[in-house]
Amino acid sequence: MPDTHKHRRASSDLERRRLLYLLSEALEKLSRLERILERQRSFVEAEYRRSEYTNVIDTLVNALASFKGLLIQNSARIGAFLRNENPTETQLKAVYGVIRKVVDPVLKIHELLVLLPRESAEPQVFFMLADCFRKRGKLPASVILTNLLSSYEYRVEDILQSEMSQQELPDLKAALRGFKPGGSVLGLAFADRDNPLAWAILAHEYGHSIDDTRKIAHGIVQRLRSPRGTTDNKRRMQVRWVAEVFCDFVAARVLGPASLIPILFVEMARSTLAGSSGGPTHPPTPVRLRLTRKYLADLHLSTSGFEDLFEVYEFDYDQKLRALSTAEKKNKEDVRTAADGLLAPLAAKIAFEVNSLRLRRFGEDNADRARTLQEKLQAGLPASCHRESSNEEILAKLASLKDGSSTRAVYSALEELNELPAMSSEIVTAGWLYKLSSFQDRLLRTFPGRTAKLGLYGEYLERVDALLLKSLELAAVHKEINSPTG
Amino acid sequence: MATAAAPRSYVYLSLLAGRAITALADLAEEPKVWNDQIRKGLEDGIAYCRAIGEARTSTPLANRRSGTQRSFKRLAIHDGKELSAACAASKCKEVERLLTQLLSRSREPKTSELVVAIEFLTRNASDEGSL
Repeated sequence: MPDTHKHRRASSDLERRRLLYLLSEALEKLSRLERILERQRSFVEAEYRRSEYTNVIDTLVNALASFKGLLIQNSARIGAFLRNENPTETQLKAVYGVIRKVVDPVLKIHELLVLLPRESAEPQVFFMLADCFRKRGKLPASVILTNLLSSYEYRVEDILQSEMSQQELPDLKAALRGFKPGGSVLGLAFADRDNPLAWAILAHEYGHSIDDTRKIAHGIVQRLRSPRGTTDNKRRMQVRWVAEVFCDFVAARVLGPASLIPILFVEMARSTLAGSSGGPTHPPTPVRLRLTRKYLADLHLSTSGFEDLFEVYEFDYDQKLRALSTAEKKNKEDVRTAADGLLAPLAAKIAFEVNSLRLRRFGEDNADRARTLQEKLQAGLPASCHRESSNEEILAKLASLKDGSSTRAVYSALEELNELPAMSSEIVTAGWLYKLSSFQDRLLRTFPGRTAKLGLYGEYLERVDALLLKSLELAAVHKEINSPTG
Repeated sequence: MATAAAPRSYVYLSLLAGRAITALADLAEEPKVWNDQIRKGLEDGIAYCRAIGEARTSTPLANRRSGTQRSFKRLAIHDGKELSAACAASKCKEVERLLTQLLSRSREPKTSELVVAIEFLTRNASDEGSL
């Protein structure tokens, strides 16, 4: 039947696109962990000359090298898949299998980095957050590098109180009873130290800091008419779910669609849905994604450039849902229905609260500027500033100057050449747009034929990181110079 | 001194499974081909299946906890897993048998068998028992 055929083709296309994102994630994590271990080795060698400590690093380096070897063994197969040379079902399954066998253990190796000396976050992460939240001077939050288990969470207490920890340590629940968390500590994965694109998620985490101070989620749930017999536990869960959507909206307001991307990559890299989002602390990610996209649409903010990833994420979630056992699937679906039932009617109220915060809004003009900045990144230039006037406007003004033009007129024409610092949200959005539009081509170059050149993808990532870090730094300095006290 | 017990870390098992998938994919593309990479990949696959099988026969951690600590919900989840574990154990044996036959080159594989084996090896080792 033609409809079935069409459906099958669309599904295999989505499967292919899903694999592309997963492959990019595998190479990215490998490359980033290698970079961290290189720095660790330099540190250890400088600090303790004859230490056996380097053996630990060697073990991890060798493990990463084995997984690189696995990808290299499959170079021709992966290359053929990338060139879309009509792969058979077995080839597709093998490519998926090999990539999974790289991503899963590499993520486990990432967790072992908690045993090595801790690096500090890059200063640019604070420039970005301060700019997004209009905080001059010290940001009232710390950023620490940590493992994946506790990264992308607002506070370590959240991890301790999460179901996952309680399953492993049943006595923890009793120990944490009545515990009042305090302080703002945003967790960033070790691997994302130099990766400003992943920092977009920190805008969400900073939203928790705002919510904590103002008790907004609590207030929204308090005003709800709950049926009799609603337990304290259920109330707490509702507050947490509302808080998550509140923070998603905060991040979307200051960063636009890019705020959603890191979490989608984190989830797509996981092999199953078991133990992932959707539980007492977080509503399922597809619910959050849908509500945030609607919020962005209400702000008249286009998500073009990101739609492909949204579509592939939803496909990935659906595939993982199908792979669950009947009981697990029903559990996930029940949680999703409950989250939808609670959050969809509250979305307008949450949006109202976020819009009343007087946050700097990421608008369509910022999205346009981000598209222009994307071109700079493409040309290998930092994307730290933009000119308000077009070349044509400047040329017209310069052409209008005559021998007798007043000094004022000359300066007025020259002023048009002034560049304004880009906003951090524009830089991060430009970075994502560039990455999403260029990674496939880089994958093709990395797997040209019989032998993969994995270093090429690492160099590409390093270049993008360096350009974005430099852009954020330059924009912060530029802003400081332009400020009245600068 | 070499020991008989292979290390069973998750990272190591993933590597074994990955190499076995590679060998099976090579055979799927060219059934007549034979080289060291394929032989080693099949051996790694057998080692993987044995490690997984052994892990399944050991007592799961959850069963060692006291009864009062297990909620009905968790009990249901684990009982479900034990049921499906029985199916997975027989699949593990099946895949090990296929890999052994391929290693001894006693027969040519069918594509459908290779697909089943690749799918089995792709599954997350952490779902395969307490490793």
